Amino acid sequence: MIARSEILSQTTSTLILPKTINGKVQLDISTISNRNTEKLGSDYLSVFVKNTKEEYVSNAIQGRYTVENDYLVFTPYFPFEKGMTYVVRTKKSDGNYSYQAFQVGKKEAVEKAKVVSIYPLANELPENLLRFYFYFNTPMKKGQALKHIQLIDAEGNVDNHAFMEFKQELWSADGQRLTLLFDPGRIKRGVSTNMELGPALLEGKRYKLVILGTWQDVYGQELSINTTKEFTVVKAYRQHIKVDNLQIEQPKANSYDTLNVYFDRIIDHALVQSMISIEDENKNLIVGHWQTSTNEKTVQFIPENPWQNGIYQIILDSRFEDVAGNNLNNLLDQKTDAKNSNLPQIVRLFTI
Amino acid sequence: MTISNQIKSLGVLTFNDEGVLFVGDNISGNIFAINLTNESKRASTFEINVYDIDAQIAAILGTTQGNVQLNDLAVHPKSGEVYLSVTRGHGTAALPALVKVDANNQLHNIDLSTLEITAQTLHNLPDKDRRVALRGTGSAPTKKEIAKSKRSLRTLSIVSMEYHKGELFVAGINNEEFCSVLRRMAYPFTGEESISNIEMYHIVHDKYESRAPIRSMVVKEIDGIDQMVAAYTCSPMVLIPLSELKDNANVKAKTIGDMGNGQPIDMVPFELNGEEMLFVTNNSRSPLVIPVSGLHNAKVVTDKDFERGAKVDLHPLMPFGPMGKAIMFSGASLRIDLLNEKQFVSLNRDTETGSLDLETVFTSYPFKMHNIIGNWDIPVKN
Repeated sequence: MIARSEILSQTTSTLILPKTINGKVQLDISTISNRNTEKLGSDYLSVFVKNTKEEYVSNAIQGRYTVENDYLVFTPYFPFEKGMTYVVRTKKSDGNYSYQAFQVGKKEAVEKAKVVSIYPLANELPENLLRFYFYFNTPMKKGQALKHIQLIDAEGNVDNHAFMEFKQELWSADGQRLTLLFDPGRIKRGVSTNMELGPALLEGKRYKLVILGTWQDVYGQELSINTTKEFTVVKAYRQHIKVDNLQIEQPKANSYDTLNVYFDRIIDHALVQSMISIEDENKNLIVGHWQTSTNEKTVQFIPENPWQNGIYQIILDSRFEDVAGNNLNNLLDQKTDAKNSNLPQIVRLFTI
Repeated sequence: MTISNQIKSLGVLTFNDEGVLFVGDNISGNIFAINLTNESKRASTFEINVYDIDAQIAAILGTTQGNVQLNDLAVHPKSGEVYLSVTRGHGTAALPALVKVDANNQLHNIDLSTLEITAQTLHNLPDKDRRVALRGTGSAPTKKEIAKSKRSLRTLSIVSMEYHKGELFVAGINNEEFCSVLRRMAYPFTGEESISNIEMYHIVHDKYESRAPIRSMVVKEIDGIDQMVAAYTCSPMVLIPLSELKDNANVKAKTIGDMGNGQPIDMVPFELNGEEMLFVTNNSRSPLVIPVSGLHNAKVVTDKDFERGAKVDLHPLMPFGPMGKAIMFSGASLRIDLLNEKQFVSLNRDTETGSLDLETVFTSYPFKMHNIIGNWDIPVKN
């Protein structure tokens, strides 16, 4: 599920400015029906050297214009220069021009595009794992994920049908986090894809997840090196998350102690941010930061203010999930006549 | 498959009649032949006047005026449009650019990756760490004289080029002790070249010299045979029969004149009132208009013809030989070529503002009125 805010931010970005000297200037032209590059060309997008005397010198920088996906892309014949100010002129829908200045590579060198982390971090993952999260240090080029991510078994076979193919990939608003789902048809037993191809992951086997270095960020920088995550597949999570006897390590009063909540399995780290909260006895939300521990089986809360004496409640939204997509009410893969609870949330109390 | 990424610098330019542009690249040590034969013949004559051209080129290349150096210009034989070889940036960050000024005075960066290019690799080029000698005229060398001494001799590999009847002639230096050479190669390129050493008697220096390169040259039929008319620094004019240019030959050029002093830049053949002429520009004196007829039957001089000792500009002998006439010119021409039958196009340094302008001037009167305030510029009072 994509948050509404993500969808909005994807459709409002219009101009991507270069970060590096070899960067490009990209204008969102998804609202323009005529995508003929020659007609759009420099009228819609021009880049000038900023002149100290005037707004810009009269001759635009020359380069190549291409249309890539929904963007009109300008690649200058020569690299941009560090510290120099350029002005982009774009045409607005009312026919007027708007101007925006930019510089590239000001003082410190621009960080190279890289994979920051791949979640789950654990190297033992259940057979019915639902998704991976890929974090990058820069917004990545979209529509490229399945070309650049490979699941490879111990014999070196690449599984080209492991992941779900969406028309629109699941990116965070900043373009730096990709959510990649396994094809549920491969996970759910008795479904046709599962019967034809078998599960993507098999208990007891080792796999490699490889992100190819040829993947570019939106500025055209390649990751340049392949990133590999190796893992072993363990028993599938077929039972509901146990919340009846939730183990809670209570913090001390007047401390910034981390509150630890222990689970019997690896928890989806992204949902932890939004599906769990703490309130005091007056229903005030306690402000702080949620995360998963290194082994991802413990959910941790770091308060912004010291703990006070009192009675607190931990509220777990029923949509809280493990890494196999099982939430508090339902299992992802269950018999159609399964009897499930229908609670909106589960509350556990603790006292300091 | 284009080889444009092998081009490391763009220096001396010359076209053949079909529109193949030859470019000297001292850094990679190649001559590149760029196929620009598709340009159409000009419909009518036009003038090119682009002021502050270095700033305007900087704008289209996304940089500033100080980051642009213009190296040479050549006029396309069919379209009459002007090509300029440009260096963008300095030192190891420098990049080559080829810029065209079209008939409408608009500038275009030429995307070399889209063009058909062939290359000829030159042999025995000067080592990159061999430097120009340090010398000065004052009590101590100046900053500019020191900067000159840091210049690699490699930058003198390709100084002048002339295309003639299916062959390219390249003047410059090689890596030997007596290094002034004329290279000769067939076009289309075969990879083969012949290299001749050139020696000449230098009247001003009163010496036989074989190190300094020819600065500019053209092939003309003189005395019934094809000869290279070549001009040197300070500033002999010589003739070299093409038949003598064989591989490993030590050729003695025939000295027939001397302009006095100064360093020639370009030598452009043109016709004036039906007479064949050479327009020879110089970095330190007015251009000369030299009738080709004067080069026929010219007296070839040696050390036997003169008293011993140096003879600079003010010596009564200078200028010596059939050197034509010095002529008034707009500012200082850094590079020049013939634009059409009646006009030159010249990269001019304006003597008043210092601006760098690409201007069109008549061959018969190579001057622009903005350079002077004369009697007729002062209106008569009513």
